[in-house]
Amino acid sequence: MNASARLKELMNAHFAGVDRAARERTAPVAWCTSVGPVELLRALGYEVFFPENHGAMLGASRVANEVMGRAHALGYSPEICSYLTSDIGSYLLKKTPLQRHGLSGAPRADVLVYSTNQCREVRDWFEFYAREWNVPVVGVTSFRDIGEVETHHVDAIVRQLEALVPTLESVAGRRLDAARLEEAVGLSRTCSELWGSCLRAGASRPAPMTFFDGTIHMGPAVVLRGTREACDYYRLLDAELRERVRAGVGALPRERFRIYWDGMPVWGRLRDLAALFARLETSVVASTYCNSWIFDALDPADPLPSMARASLELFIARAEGPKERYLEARIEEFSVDGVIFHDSRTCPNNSNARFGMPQRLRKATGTPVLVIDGDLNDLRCYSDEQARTNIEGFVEQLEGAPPRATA
Amino acid sequence: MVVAGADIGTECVKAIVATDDGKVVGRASVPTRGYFQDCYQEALGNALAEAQAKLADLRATVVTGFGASCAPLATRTVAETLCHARGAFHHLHRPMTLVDIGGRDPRVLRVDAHGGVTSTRSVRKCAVGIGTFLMFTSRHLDVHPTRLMDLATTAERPAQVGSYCSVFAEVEVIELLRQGATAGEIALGAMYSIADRIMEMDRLDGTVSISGGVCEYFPGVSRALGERSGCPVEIVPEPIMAGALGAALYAIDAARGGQA
Amino acid sequence: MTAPTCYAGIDSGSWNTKAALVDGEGRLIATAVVRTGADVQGAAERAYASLLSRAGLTREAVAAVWSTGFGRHSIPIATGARTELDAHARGALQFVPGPLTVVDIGGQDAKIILVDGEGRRVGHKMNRKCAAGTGSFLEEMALRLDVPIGDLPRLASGFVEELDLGSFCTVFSGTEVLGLIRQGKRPADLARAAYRSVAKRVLEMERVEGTVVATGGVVAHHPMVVELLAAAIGAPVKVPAHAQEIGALGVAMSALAASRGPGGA
Repeated sequence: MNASARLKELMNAHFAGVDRAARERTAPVAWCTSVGPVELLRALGYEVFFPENHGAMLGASRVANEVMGRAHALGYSPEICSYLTSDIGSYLLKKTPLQRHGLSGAPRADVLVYSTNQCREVRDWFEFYAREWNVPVVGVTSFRDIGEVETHHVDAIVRQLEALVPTLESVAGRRLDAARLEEAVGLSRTCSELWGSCLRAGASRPAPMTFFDGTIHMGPAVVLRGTREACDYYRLLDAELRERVRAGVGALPRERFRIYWDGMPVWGRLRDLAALFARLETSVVASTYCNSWIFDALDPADPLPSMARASLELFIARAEGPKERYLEARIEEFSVDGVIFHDSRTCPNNSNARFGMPQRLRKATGTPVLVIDGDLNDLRCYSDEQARTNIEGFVEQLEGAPPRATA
Repeated sequence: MVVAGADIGTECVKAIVATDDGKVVGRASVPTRGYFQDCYQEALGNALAEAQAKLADLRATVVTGFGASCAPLATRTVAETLCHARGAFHHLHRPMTLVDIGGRDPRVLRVDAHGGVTSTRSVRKCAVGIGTFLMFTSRHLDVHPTRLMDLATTAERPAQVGSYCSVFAEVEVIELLRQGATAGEIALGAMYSIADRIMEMDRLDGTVSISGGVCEYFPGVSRALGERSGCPVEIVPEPIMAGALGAALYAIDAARGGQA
Repeated sequence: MTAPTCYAGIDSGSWNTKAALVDGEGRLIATAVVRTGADVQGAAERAYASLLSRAGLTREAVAAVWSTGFGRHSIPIATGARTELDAHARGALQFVPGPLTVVDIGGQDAKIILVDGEGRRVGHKMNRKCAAGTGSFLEEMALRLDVPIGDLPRLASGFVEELDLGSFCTVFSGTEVLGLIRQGKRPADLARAAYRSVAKRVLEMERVEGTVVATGGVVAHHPMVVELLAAAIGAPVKVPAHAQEIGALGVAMSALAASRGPGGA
């Protein structure tokens, strides 16, 4: 993809920017969870670092398993988030793929800002660094297993967001400016719309981009949300994808089957899995994971309440019912032949195969489902051999299935 | 007058016969198969034979280990952690971080300047960091366990063996062979994976000492642990006997009337 | 010289490599089983040679060799490959018509495969990355009980007391067995408990209903597992002839079907 070159520049500039701010004290530095209240930080002039992005880099570079043991020895169990354990291990052993971007390590934060809308681990993770650096850690303790997002949910989160402001202002040494917040929310909203449009291109046959490409291209939607650069990037990518769709160019030379992926990527096996699916002429056309950075609710006219609503409407924060309805809609939208659930050992909140959902979904939609065991970063929980047999067997099953009546 | 100490473990039963001034005069180790009681009697019998002593000559017997309750005639039982610490301290006479790696439950012990144990960390319920895992590995490499170390010394670098499950690690072994790794690299890789699991148990610092049966037969684990932890690592003399030696020292105490 | 008319299947498993030969009508001619060991490719060659010698045929008689199992992609003589899931379903269908549930218990994994009335696979489950409920588990138990694995069925048949093993993990079940030995429990009862544990783990994988067919090496050599499965689901469990070589047979049938062109299946 042509946009890839720009993506590389953009990510490099992002890392360099945060790193410079941390070293030369040219701007305050905040760490933020990937679906946390980043717009507040942008409005206050922070350079923002996203440790989950670093976690994914540790996984993809397979440094994770070399370093996470150090965190286990410190009392962070191998059963908890392997982003957390690999990031803390990486910090302690001073070993990180960020070195390839010219950084010696993750940039030191002046303040750490979390939202537990995804999981409790992010708070414990940030508290480790707060103790380490003696800097404030603040955040939003959110609701989980939300059925319908109600006004009282939104109000409660708005109050918590407001309560963050004094600390964030004091660390930044400036007051929150309403116009700048509106601007950041507006840019986040635009970025979210454009990224959403890129992902919806996957509904075309053949799909112009796979989930595996998506996990790379989503970088700016995570780390540069609320900036103009991110919007520009997705305009570029979207145009390229639309052109591919128009020309009928697919991500794979041949697309026999279309798959939806639920759950985390197996970062250390991204390339192998992409190659396996390509060999099977099966395109993973959409995923819950990449869709997680689409925030329909964001509204510059109503910054904090819309941020609150966006953080609550997130798939990961929802109850089984809304999650199931969401997946049913995606099966329809992307006309997929099968759904693969990745049961990620150390990420229960992003694993939706643990309460019978695949079975219910199969029953409700008639769509074949497959569950594979693995983990986002801890490859000890993943068996190459088993995953391969599971996936090849699933594709064989699709080959033998009667033609599906899809739109 | 002699005393005995026995360490009734899951892979081996070890026995030591010592004089009451602490001189070891008989030692034996037999594999654990079938009933613990039979293995214990065999090991103790062998150690007594080497000491040219009879059961009736024993003034006290202290037992430790998984099967300690299967030695009903013993004077007393003492926890494995204490016996290993005491056995190691008897040789080294200094505070240390002691890693005991046996058939089942590896432990990291902090031993103070008097040989006392100040903290213990043991492995989570995961079998990869243990001696049995090496037995599984040798089974899949089609070599006798005692040959695994020879194999490992032929390798320049360890293969990456990293599974939580010992049995699944076997599948990895075949997969690695298929990918062209040598048996030596895999044997060494298995030893590194034990070191990795140990590293995850507790923070290692200072000089690390190792006791237990694993390093008796697979000293490559100690090299791996040294490399991974960056700490100097030494193997306690006769590491497999450390628990039994500690038990024998407790037996001397018992023979003297219980004063430690 | 006559045209080759036979089709061979090789099932390369983690413990054993199985082979089966069918004629042009899909009739089973011969089977063979050899230990896999550390050399997957060599084991496949040995199994194939043994197969041909049992059938009294030469390589010229074989039109195609297909492979399945863990080592399916490492066998150069094979010109096609299917997963074990496909091969076991297809093999079982040679003996029992669908709809059916295939329970396959092998050395390192257990699988439950669902097949509909048309003989199409509609779903499957494999064990987690954990060896409980597999042949390796029984190997470890036999080691702890100090009997050769082949003697485990005979030992278990003398059970008196029903014991339960609570651990999930093979190695820790080994520890648990040692603990029970320490308590003086009878080896026969422990052997029985090992079989109960395998059956229990397998049934926890997926709802098992309808016609149930059990396949795989463990099923072939440890009939008590089948008996316990049947008792637990309250219905008979069918064990086809050649339960251990059923995957090899299934993939041989795939080779035959492929020779008849698309739709030949």
